[in-house]
Amino acid sequence: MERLRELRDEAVAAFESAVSAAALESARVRHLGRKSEINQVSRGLKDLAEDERRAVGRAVNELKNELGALLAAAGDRIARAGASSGPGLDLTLPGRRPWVGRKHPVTRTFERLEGIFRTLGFEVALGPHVEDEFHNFEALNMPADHPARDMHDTFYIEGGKLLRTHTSPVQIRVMQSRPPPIRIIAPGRAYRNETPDASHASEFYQLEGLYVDRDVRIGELKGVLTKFLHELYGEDVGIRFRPGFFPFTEPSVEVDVECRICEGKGCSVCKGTGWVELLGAGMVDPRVFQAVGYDPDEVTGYAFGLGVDRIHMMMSGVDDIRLYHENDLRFLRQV
Amino acid sequence: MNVGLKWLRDYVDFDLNAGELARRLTESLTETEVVESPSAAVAGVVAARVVTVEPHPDAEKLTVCVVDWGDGSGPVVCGAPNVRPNMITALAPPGATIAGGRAIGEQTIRGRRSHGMLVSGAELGLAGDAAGILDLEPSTTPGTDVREVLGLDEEVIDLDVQPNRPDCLGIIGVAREVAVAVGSQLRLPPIELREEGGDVAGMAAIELENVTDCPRYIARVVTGLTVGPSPAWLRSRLASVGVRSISNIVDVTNFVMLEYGHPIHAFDYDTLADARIVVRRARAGETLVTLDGVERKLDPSHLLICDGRGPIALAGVMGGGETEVGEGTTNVLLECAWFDPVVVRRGATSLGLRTDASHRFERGVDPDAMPGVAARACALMAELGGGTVARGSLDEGPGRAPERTVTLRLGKLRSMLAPGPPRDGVVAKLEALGFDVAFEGDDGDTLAVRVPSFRSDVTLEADLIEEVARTHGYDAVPPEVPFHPLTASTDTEHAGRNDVRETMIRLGFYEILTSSFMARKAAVDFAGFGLEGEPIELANPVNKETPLLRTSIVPAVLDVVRRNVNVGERDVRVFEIGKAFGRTGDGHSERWMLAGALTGAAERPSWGGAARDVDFFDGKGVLEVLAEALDVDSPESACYDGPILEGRSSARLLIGGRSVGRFGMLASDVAEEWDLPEAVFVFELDLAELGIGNGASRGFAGLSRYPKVRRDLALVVDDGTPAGDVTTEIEGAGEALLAGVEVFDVYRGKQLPAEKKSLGLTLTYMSMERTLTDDEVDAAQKRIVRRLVDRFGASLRE
Repeated sequence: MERLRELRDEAVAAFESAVSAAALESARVRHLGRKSEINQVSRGLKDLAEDERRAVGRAVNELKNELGALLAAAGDRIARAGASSGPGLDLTLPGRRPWVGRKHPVTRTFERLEGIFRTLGFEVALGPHVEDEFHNFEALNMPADHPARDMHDTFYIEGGKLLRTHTSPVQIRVMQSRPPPIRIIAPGRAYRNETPDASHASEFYQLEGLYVDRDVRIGELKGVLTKFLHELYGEDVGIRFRPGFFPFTEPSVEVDVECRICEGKGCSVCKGTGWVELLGAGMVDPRVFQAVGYDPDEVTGYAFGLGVDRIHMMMSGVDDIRLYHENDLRFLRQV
Repeated sequence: MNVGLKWLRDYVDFDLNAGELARRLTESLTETEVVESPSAAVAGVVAARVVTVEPHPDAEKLTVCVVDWGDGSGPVVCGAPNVRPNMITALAPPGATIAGGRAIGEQTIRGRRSHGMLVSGAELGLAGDAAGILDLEPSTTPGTDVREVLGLDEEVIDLDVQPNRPDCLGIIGVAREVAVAVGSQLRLPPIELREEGGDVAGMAAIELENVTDCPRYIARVVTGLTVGPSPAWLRSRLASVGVRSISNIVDVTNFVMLEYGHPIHAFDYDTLADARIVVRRARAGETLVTLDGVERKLDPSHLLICDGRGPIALAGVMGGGETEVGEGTTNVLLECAWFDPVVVRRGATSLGLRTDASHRFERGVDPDAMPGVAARACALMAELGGGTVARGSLDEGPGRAPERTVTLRLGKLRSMLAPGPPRDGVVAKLEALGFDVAFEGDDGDTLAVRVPSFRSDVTLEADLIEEVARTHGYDAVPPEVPFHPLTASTDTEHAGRNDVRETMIRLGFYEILTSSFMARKAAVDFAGFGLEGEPIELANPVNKETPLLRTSIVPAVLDVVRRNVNVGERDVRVFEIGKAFGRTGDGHSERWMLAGALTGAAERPSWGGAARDVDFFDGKGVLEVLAEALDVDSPESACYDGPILEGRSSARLLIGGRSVGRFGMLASDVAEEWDLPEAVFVFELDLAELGIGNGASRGFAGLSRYPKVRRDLALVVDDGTPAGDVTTEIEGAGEALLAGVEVFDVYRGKQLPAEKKSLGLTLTYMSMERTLTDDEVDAAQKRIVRRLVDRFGASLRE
């Protein structure tokens, strides 16, 4: 009798787990077929004592009836599944997928930054990559032989022209082309003659901003950049304005944000300071206004600049700037 | 600029640790970090006296010393060449730790027990000094911790001094900023100069060839010196900022340079021919062996210090070997000069020799501080070297700091810093920074600020505003978010390029960004692509392989295809929107291009069987859909049989007869040479010529409320008849009801005569006014067929 209960459980499990008609049929043969153990029990009844024969015989019949009903139910279940999906249709196969493309992470970062500054009232301005000394350096208060040029290893081409070392010459071109007020951002590629390594590229991406009007205050620069950083990193990010030096702004500031990796506790990315330098900014130097023919007594303004690839690196954890230039699809799919 | 805190405390009092001080200076001056000292791990190392030195019986190069470490003595095995009886050196006994965290234990060396080891400066993390064990001052008490003796406990900060602040390349300048930041007082070092020697005027003469190159030159002479090791205080000061101790006299020149930020140089007086100093430009072909032992070839861009014979130093950059102060030196001529920043910068740059001295001269020194700097150095030399300072100084050249007064309007300051600090606060900060402040006019709102000689960077009101802003603290400026009217204007071409990018993404292409530089071979191979005209050449390429500005983006795109195929990607669909550059007559042009490539499967791999590889029409379709999405005139293709592309399956893209770009399958020999897959479709379009972003719209033509009627047509034409000619003919037939024509089948085969093909065409008819009848559609279709029969000798396929 004990053995009958075991046989029952085995058969039930087999019927319920069968996923096809063929599987169910083989389960039936195994558990209810002529050579099945249950059938052997039926055939052996005649050798039992009468009392026992009656009791076991009833139990075997009940079991056969029960299993027969379960078998039929399992058959229905399998038939229903087949009917709803048609013959041979395997829903677990992947769908037919169209090609899908993706923007370069630098482009996506540019779009994000441009979007934020557009809502703050800035328009996009662009300038040439091949520049001259005047727009790239002199008008920005960086005369020849100025030590500040140490930071601007320059690619020169014939005729004294050069590849812009920053996007700042766009400031000069825009101011030369029209009177204030001016409120622009200038996104684009810049070039420096540096041997590439994990954190330096000879071609990189900047976004420049310029606002010129009457009586512009440092507080507005702080306000706009704070708003920008809040949009980028969330309202709770720590922001620090500290003194800096750029030849074309006076006063000059550097803007740090709290390190996103260690949340300001200090780690290798922020060199233990808890802060990461993100923007250079300042009030436009009066000598720059003079160079473009504006009257420094009439107008004031602020300018700022930031490294776009660096911003993406900081947000994504990419630790080698060269990856942005290699265009490995495995990289482009990930970041 | 490294600054030791102990050293700093000689000039200013403050109650901050290194981290706190670094933070304060970062907020008020420039980014400042705490320097991790290599000596940080040193522990338990003590001063010890060497009592006896015996050769090691079993090792030629070793000695066995008996060493007294104050509260005990014992044997130490030593391998240093400079070990000698009675010297005071440093002992790392068992249990001590030296630099790098290395623990010292009791050991036996070649059979002799050694109570720890005697250590060199390098083993304690000091700069240089690996040759022998430390030679400490004889007065040092054995048993004293060397951290104390050598000042290893010195905390050090590193300031990122900006090019406009050469005053902070001296510790006094930093101390002044610290004083302002913490509200303390700057203490200048006392200069106790006793001029007890003869009159310097009889000892040397100075000649300046050109006072523009060298506006001021001061020389002093110190006699009767003994050159020897520096005292511990001086060595530890220098060691704390990573400067190696050389000798008392040389150390004084370095110490005073670091103190004042003004480089000075000591010549061995007795080696100077005719006791003359001449400052002049080098003559072509002259040479000088500098202190680092390198022979420098000079030209007239270099400024020299010469003696009666010839060059003895590169002015403001590095001294020469022949007049160097060495062990036997007894008399010294000290130079304290002001050289033109540009001359020093160009000279140092052309020789690739940037030194601590040139770094400072390039940024400008304080000419008015020179007499004090020279006196300070001579006083220290006399004190440490036991010499006598000659009376007076030789002081040539008219160079003095210009008197400069800059007006600061508090109204302007307040409008920029709003609200800004009160007047008294402004005045107090400026005075603490060394400015003299007077009031101008009656309103008390205009300050006449006299700029000190060490702040040549301050020339404008904006510079003073910065001084106030940074010392006041940017934290104190309240951020304002002003209301700006939104700008209507948008760069339409920029927006147009964004549309192109969006479309390419939707077509399943990955955007890439490649270098603007190009190899010469690529420029030749791909001359048919991109801009016309010669490529622009870089004067100083970073990579000699790519000395040109790209005339076409295609070579870089193909590089990307190869790179990806080589790492196992099969299906590569990439594009770039970027600039190409070319020469035009005297000038140059740069234009925005769209370039791209596709290779691999025509459809994304799926389980329904392998897709065929891309061919010409997959690529052409991409460009047609791009035109459709951008709503520019659908481009026409013209045959292109230039290089690179497979002539049979490549074309020039024309819009309104203008060439917009090239596209097609890469020629197989090029694919092979570039190590690319067999079937690669490439394209490059000039985005300005494409007419994107011109804002033009076709306008709305209305929708018909009546159904379309389709009629298929199987037309047999000569095999050479382009399908495009047939569809153009149909569209141009002047049938008002015809709404469109599509090719749905092209057939060649045994059911047709040779040299013939069948075109399956669907013609669509529609009216805006009514439902079309079969009769009128059949009539139109008949007229069209007749036209095709006449024009192409076509027949209808049965």
